[in-house]
Amino acid sequence: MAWDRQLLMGFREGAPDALAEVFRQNAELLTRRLRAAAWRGRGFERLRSELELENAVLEVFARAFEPRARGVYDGVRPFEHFLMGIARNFLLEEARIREHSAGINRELEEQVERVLMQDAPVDAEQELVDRELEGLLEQFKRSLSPEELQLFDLRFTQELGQEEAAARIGLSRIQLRRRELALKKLLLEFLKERGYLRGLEAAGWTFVRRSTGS
Amino acid sequence: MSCTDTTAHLALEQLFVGELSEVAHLELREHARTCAECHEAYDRLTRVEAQLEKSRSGLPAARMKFLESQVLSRAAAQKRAAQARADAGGDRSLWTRVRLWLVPAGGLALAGVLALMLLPKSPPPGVDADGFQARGAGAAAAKSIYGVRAFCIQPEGAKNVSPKVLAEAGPGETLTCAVGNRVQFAYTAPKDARLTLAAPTPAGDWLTFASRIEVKKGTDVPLSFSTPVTTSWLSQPIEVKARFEDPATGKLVAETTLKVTP
Repeated sequence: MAWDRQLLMGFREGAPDALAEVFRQNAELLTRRLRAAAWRGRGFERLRSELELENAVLEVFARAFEPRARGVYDGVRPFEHFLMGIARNFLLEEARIREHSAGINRELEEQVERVLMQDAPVDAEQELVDRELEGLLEQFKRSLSPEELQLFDLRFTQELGQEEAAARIGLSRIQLRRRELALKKLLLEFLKERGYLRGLEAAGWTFVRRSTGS
Repeated sequence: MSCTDTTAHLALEQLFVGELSEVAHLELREHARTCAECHEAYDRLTRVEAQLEKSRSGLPAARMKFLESQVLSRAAAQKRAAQARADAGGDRSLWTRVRLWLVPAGGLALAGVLALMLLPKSPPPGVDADGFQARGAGAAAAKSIYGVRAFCIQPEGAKNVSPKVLAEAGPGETLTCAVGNRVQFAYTAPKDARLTLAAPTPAGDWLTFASRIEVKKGTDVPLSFSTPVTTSWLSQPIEVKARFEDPATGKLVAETTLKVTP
């Protein structure tokens, strides 16, 4: 990311606009790299959970935005390296706290650096999980009416904004939002029926635990 | 064991359809930390949303906005705390430090900073299954100047109510802290150490507040996190065991206990 004097000053002072800009410019990369660590790095499987991954992103940014950290960033070296350095320390601390079976050794440190400092190809196991879901979504699309399918395609295949998608179909944005809500409910029901949301069953529009043996 | 928290179930569906408030989202995250079913549902629904959006990061756009908001809240709280420290000048009483720390903690309630974990069946690192049995140090070590105190904190309220310390307990004492408040620990250590704070539950699990965290020497130093009191972990009295280890050798240097009750 490019740093101008104003952004750097704002960042150092902790100005919300500057911090938000830095977050937006770097959050995707950090999330991707932490995810890579989870799938490719031995010992960080915990971060395969989306909730834990979110917590890790929060923690790394929180550390990067601490007054002392903001004060030492010079705006010259790439912020990406600065952020990944914090992420590296976070991951190694996590491994230490959770008593990584192999201990913290040079190999583990190198592995963390490797996954954090460069984009890695998607791990085969991760791809498998993604494909399972992709397949389910394809099946779901085949179960939709032409109108529902059109909405799904505009919003999720062509990735149009609600405003633009509404205009294409000839609806108001509110009407489109309602239909999208209904579509998501259908999707939820579909995923539940296919066993993707194991153990949770929708009763009306509320989850209840499916009783075993019934 | 099945989850019967209907509020959490409703929150999950609202999250998926994009109608969950930020506060309710924080509560859901807190619940999901200790509820395996809701944790898994949260993960799976997040994956579906991200896949629908073809998100490059793998997290949905709305989730990124939520994270941004949380990070900015925390940064703002840190800034306020730093300012308050500067304003307080030389006043470094424990109460002041606890209150200063609470500014970031109070408004945040991030699952990420909550150091409470439910560990299944096995004790946390460094803790014997039968409790904190001294290995060599024994009672003499427990009587040393190492120690832990716990505080019950009323968090910052919606109407700018300042965080307030409601109660305090030292080694061997009992802290009463009702649901909705937060428990904050502070330690005293004459040397740098590793600190573990954990409590056994009747089910044989361990509630771990801190697991071998590195602490610098100091007197009445508040830990960098507090834990919101919920019925999921504090429905009956628990005995929190504090264990200090030498960071270099891992040897026990002191241990102590205190009770926390709802």
